[in-house]
Amino acid sequence: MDLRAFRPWLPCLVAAAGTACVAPGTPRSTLAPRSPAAPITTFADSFLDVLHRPARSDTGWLTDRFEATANGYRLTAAFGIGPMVFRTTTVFFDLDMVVDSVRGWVRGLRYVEYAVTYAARRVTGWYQSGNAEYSPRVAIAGVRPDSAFEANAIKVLLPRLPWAVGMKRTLFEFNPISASTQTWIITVLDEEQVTVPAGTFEAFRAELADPAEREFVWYTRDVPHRCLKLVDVTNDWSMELIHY
Amino acid sequence: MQLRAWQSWLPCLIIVGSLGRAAGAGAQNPSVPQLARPGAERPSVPALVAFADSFVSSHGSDSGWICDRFTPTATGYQHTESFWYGPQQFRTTVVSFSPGMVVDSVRARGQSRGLVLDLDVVYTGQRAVGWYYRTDPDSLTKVPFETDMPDSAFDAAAQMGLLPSFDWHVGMQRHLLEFEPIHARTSSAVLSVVAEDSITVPAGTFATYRAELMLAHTTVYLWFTRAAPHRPVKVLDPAHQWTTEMVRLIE
Repeated sequence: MDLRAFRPWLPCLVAAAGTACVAPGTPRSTLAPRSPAAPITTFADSFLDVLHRPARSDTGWLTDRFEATANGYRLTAAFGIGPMVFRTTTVFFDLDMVVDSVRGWVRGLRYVEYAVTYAARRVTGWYQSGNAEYSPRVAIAGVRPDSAFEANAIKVLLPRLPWAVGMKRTLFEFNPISASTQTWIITVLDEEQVTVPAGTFEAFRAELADPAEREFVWYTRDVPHRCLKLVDVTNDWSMELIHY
Repeated sequence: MQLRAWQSWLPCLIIVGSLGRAAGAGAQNPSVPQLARPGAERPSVPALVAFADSFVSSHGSDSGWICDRFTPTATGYQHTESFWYGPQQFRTTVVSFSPGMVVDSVRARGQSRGLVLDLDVVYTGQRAVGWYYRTDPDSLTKVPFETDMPDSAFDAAAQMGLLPSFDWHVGMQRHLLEFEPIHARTSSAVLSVVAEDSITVPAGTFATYRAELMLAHTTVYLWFTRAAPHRPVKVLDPAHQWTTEMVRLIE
């Protein structure tokens, strides 16, 4: 896997501050207020992905690029692993970091394409799923729960959490295609020094869990917090920062 | 399978063959932007009267039955739903509601495709705490969980207990967030009451409201009595070839 091709568009760095998440431990969740003054920093990172299997491991890559546009921000995530899956997703945010629209496609073993637009909680759009010869287009018309965020925006939202050991938040991740919301609980467990291909960093280690899945993520202690490493215990998958 | 325990409240049960695919029920998209959420309104007291209904149900070529019973308790209300689709597909679910029809707890027992279904969950606000049994290849594992559901969501098992308490009228539209605690997943659906219909089912002919429940990629059609308590008369899911019709109604 030649990662050099991605370097020309991987110039800089991550974001900061609060996000619309819910703190568990209280009977009724409350939304954190939006922080209009929160600094928003563009970034572009690339990761080495490894899907661990009993017989062999498949390696791949993931690149995230967050940039300013004329009317807001744009996050572009590109992902490929082995010959199986290539995926690109683009999320458009307004100036307040509210998601306006999402476009994405998947190629390889699956053929998926979709586009959705948000108007407050209402989401409309379409998606196609099938193969290159036949992929009927299906309309999407749903409603996002109040406190949920578009699933593809998580890479921008996680760095904006108030990272500290002991921090615990409930995250509601909305998938417009399935009109479903996944509850995740993120807990910052401890501080660690972690070495990845991009270097050695002082990091926070956090657990990201739902009842069926468990992941560990490492984010830099320095602000803006950026993702260094992810280990998906359930699916035996990991990724490490190789370039930023 | 011990069916005798259920027989006491299944006085009249009819199982008929497949009703098959329903015609003329194509999926539609929600078009009315105004949304109301469960919890925004309190149920009207006259709607909350006890009832016990039984239904015949078919799913493709399989058929079975469903029984719903809604009763007041010392601490609120209780909705019990049992269904039977053969010795490998049966379940009894008990949902306890507060006096304001907020879900307090859910208990489910049965089997799903031959796998054990055993769940207990207690709600405190949005927090769901409980356990379920996971079937592994050679063992059963008790799995505790603790998670949160989004604001205004409710346990998916409470749907049929909550629907009769809505303010049914043509034009009503509500956004439903149905939470599955085992998966910590919430599904969005939009319920729209679209028309009044007179329909005939094995239990008789009823003046009903016809509603559409729009899910991600499919629409389920519901008929509820116009008379309060608004109780289900028929449910039709064309995409999954699933139909349920009332066979007996007990006031």
